[in-house]
Amino acid sequence: MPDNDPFRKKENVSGQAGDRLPEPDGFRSIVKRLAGENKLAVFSFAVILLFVLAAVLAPVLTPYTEKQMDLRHRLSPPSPEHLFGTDEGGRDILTRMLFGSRVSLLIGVVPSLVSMLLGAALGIVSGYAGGKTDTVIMRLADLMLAFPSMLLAMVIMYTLGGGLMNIFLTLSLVNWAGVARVVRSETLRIIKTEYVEAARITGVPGFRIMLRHILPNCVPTMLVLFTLNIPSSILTESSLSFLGLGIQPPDASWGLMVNTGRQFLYSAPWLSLIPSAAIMAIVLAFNFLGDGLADVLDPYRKNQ
Amino acid sequence: MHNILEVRHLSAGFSARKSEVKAVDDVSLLVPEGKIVGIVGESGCGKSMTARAVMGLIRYPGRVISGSVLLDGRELVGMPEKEKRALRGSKMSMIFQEPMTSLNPVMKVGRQVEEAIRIHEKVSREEAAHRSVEILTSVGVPEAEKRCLCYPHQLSGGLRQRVMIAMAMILDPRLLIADEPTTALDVTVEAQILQLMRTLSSGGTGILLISHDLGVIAQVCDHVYVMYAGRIVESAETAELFDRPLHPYTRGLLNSVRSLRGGGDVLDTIPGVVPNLMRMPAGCGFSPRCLECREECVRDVPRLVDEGDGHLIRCFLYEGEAAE
Amino acid sequence: MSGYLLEGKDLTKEFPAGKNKTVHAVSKVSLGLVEGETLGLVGESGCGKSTLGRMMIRALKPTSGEVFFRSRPLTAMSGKEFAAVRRSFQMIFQDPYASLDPRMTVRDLIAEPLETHHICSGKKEITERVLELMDAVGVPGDFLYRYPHQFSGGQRQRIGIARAVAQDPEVIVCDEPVSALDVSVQNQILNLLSDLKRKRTLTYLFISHDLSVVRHISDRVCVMFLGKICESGPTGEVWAAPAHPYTSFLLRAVPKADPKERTDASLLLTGEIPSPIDPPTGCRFHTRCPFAVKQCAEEEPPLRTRGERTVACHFPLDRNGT
Repeated sequence: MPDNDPFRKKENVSGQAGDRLPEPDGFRSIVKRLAGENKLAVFSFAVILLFVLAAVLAPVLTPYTEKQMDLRHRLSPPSPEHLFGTDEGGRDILTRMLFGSRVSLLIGVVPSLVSMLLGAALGIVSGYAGGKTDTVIMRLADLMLAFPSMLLAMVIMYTLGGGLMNIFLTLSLVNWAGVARVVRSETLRIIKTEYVEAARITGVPGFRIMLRHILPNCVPTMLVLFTLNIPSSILTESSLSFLGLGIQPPDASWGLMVNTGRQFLYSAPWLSLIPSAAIMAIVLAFNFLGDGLADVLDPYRKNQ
Repeated sequence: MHNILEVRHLSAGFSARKSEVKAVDDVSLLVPEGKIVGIVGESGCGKSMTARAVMGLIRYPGRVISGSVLLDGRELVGMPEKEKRALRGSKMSMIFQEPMTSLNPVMKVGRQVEEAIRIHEKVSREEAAHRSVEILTSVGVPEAEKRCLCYPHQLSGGLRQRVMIAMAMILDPRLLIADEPTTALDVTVEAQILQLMRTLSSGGTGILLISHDLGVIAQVCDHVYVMYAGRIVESAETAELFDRPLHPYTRGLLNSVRSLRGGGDVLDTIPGVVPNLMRMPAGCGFSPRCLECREECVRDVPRLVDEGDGHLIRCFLYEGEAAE
Repeated sequence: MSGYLLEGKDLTKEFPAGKNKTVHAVSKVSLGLVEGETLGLVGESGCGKSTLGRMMIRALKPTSGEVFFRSRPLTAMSGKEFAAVRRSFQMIFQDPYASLDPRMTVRDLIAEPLETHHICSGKKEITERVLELMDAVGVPGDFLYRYPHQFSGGQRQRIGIARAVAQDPEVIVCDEPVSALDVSVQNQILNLLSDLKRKRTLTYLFISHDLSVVRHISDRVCVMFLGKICESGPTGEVWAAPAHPYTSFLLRAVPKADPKERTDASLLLTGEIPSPIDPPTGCRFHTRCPFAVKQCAEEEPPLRTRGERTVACHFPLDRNGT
């Protein structure tokens, strides 16, 4: 809090350059505050980092390869040789988890990020411009939302074929509309505030108003949407894979592993439980990190 | 005279980050029957918190720390919530600054008044409807039957406030607490509501009127308490207080009243800003802004002393005198 | 040629309000600001004073009517032409909690007009200018990188004022700049506004519902009722001897901070303000006016000029009442 009485301190008012000026908040102080205030967010960040490292270092971390079958040890429970057991083809689950995380992490994050950015941009423009622009963008969004997303994804995947890039594209296209809707309504709220009116009266160009006033005030909402999109992307991918449109066995992804493991839920529960736990962990980690970030970026909690 | 409300050494506040913040500190006040008693103060001085403490409406994490609140001689602090709820509405009620937020926007006004009657009394629908028209008329709602069929947003601010007052007065409570009842209203309507307050009090209801506006206080109150930074700093009969303000804060406040007749070029001001609750000064709450601040003011909290005729003042400038 | 710096002629603003209904916020109002003066615009809520103020600086497009700035038609200008004169106008808002972007630091807030109008460039130079402005409005430079919520209402309003004067405007519309502030802080802000006006040759259009504030700060005053101006003139004269019954009742209704001067209930206006959706015919005040006769309901009173004063009433009050 600023001092209660600024008027008594007139002598120290720095009116001229040359006085020592206060420093603005840099990136470093933001990270510091995040670390200081929200231990959970830091822990979450560490978890995410761990997953990423594991994905990158997968070949080094395990003696097996993800496609290597061993039919003599099918569906074996966790043991010292196979920490997480093996699947129906006798493949080591830990290895498949490690390799699968490459795909799943990318699928969780990349389309969520793309759809969030796309949705936010369209939502802000739609809300700010109003009129025809708004109508066109929003009807398009309605169309996307009204269409069963799974069906839409299938159509796109059938047309474009499988492959990681196409999954990214599909999931981004499926998810942007929801983001755009929410961001648009945020924009409509923010547009009515006096600070936007003040900027308009000052003559700040529309593009700058969107970028400097509206976007930053949408960030907390966007962070929430982002973290919510991650699990749904991972799971949509698994459904697509199940339908033969996404990642194909013997390649691995968490979603695919959950899905194939389902048939052995009673006989070999580790098959689907372990990848499920991983999905849950990564989703929770992103959630907590998102919350922490929203807190740190919230000016109401700064410098207190 | 019989005192409807007696607040004794009331402290209320909330715990924040391991420390206790006192928003209301050792407040004592009396509301006699048929009188309007004012609390005047600025944002964060604790006046609304005091009112909520009396009504038992402090929300978590806030709480009453110590002291007692006697309504017609019955202790309210520590009374079970169920009993308190029965008293609210029947023995004491409260109206707020913004009537729109206190009314249900999707329910017709008449229905809301009827509900309020039927919560406390077992009467038929027709009887309740009849009574609500009656009571709305009595607080000056014109064409009350027609207004009963309106939704709150269809009424003007002044009418909404009258509806709130009607709901508060249904069971003829002994005590009415009005928290900035006219702040959201236009001047011409404000004057009408203040007039209504006078009428209510002449019917025997004790009114505790909370306001930041010295004009409102001067117009209707019989007795005034001046609050600053959670404490009562001065208290006197209205005429006495406006005639002979003693506390530097009260004097500053009265000096900063602008006259309609105009005046000097530069307006009188109190320097500085209202202190933040989390960072109350150690001694007298007003010391950082006081031009007559002395050493002891920063260190200790002055006591509330009688300057004669029940004119109470909490300031070191007078503490010595009173002792002599 | 009029001697006005900024002049509005026959300004009308109507808002659609649902099915075939129109809110007549401002109806055919003319208003002129002389360079260097403070013109008070007084009225109760919904009388259209904020709408009128915004139309004067083209923050809101009038339904009809024109605004002239230095005799050039502001309303008819193209976007490009207006951009060239836009720097001359600014606004100070009522709610200092809502008019500052919560996610911007004080520096960025005050720097925005400087950057927009290319008044100075380069990070260091802008920061220096911002510090000068903070000093001018009495906010310590140490708070350069603080966020608005960390300040009290009065300090926020100071920041809002610094922002408004940053681009050296000629006309500032002050929309209830003190009504959200604590009593003891209001006068500080009013003094600051007077002080800045003297130092920077500003012209204020000062919108307020508080008659004492207007009395103090403005040279001339316009009293509005339901989208119309009912009286205008030098503030002191109007306040001392109001000619329109509405002005007179308004002045009487103000709760005076003196227990010896209690308002006489019989001198109060009864009833509520009529709706601007369906304003009364003739004189818009006639439904509440105790002096109204048949003519008032039928014929709209024209604005009559008497010396420096104008009044729109068929039967204006003389010095001693009716």
